[in-house]
Amino acid sequence: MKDKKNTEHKEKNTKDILDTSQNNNADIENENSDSFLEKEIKPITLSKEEIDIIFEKEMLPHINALYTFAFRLTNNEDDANDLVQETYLKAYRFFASYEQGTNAKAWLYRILKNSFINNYRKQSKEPNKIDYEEAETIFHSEKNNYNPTDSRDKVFKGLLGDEVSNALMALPLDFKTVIMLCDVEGFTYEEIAKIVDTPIGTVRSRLHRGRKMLKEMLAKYAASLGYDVSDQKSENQDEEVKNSETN
Amino acid sequence: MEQNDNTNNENEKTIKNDVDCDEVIRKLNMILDGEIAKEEETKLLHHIDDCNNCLEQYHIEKSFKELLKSKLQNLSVSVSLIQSIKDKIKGKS
Ligand SMILES: [Zn+2]
Repeated sequence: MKDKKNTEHKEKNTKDILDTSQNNNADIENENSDSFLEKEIKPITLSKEEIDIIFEKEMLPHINALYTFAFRLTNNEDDANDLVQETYLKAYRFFASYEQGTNAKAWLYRILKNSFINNYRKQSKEPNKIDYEEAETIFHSEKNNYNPTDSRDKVFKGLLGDEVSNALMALPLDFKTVIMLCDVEGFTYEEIAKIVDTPIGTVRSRLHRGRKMLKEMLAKYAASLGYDVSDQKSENQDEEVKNSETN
Repeated sequence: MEQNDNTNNENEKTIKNDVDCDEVIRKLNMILDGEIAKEEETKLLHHIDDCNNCLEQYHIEKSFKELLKSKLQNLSVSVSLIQSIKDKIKGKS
């Protein structure tokens, strides 16, 4: 249970965000992250009651999945709650830009992802940001510690949940995002490309690099627990990724 | 995935020769992500079935993907957040 102070604080935050967007549409256009909501607006003929019913039936059931995503992005319960609330209020406000019968979940994820980016751009800080180059250097320099041996598919089985989520947290945002969307939520590459606004080739290469970094972090951890760690065959995949990035 | 039996020996060879290990390894993640067209997927899976090295890599990638999913999914929001969202929406005209 949250304490009351927190809840009030949250409500105020969300209200501020909504007020800003209502009073100042020009701002929204400039912050292009949310502008897709404005652009895709269509005339709506439904009553408030009808909208509320659709909203409850098609949007709210995704709340736990959205919260899971929000928590992985923010690494903080209160921020995740704020982000989920902001997402739903925007989705409601811009309901007319949702095309009924299409993928409501993907639409909500897109709003959440853009809201998250807007918020931290405003605060000019990204939680847990690690520069990608830096991250890669670290992982590669540590790779030499492993003994390439026969691989076992049980290598990762003994890992604890915390280790996995900590490793994910340490990934740069772009990589963390596609892994959540693909491996946890099971979105297709095409859906992911739309949610994060990049070409499919970029989605594929981010997935590849992100998984590779995660694997290396976790393999190191597994090795420290005495698991047999394999040197996995990924050189070929690297080539593929290079090719796909130019698409 | 079904194993070809003896009557299909010719076929099996053709399929196997069609695909090499490099290609399979390159496409492992796309197979697991369900991003390969059915027909090509069948070919690749046939190779995997018959090739110990690829099969092993396949299982590693598969269990890694399953690990991520099982450890990162399914957090739950508080009832009060759901209520708060519903209340705010009710108040809107
Ligand atoms: Zn092979």
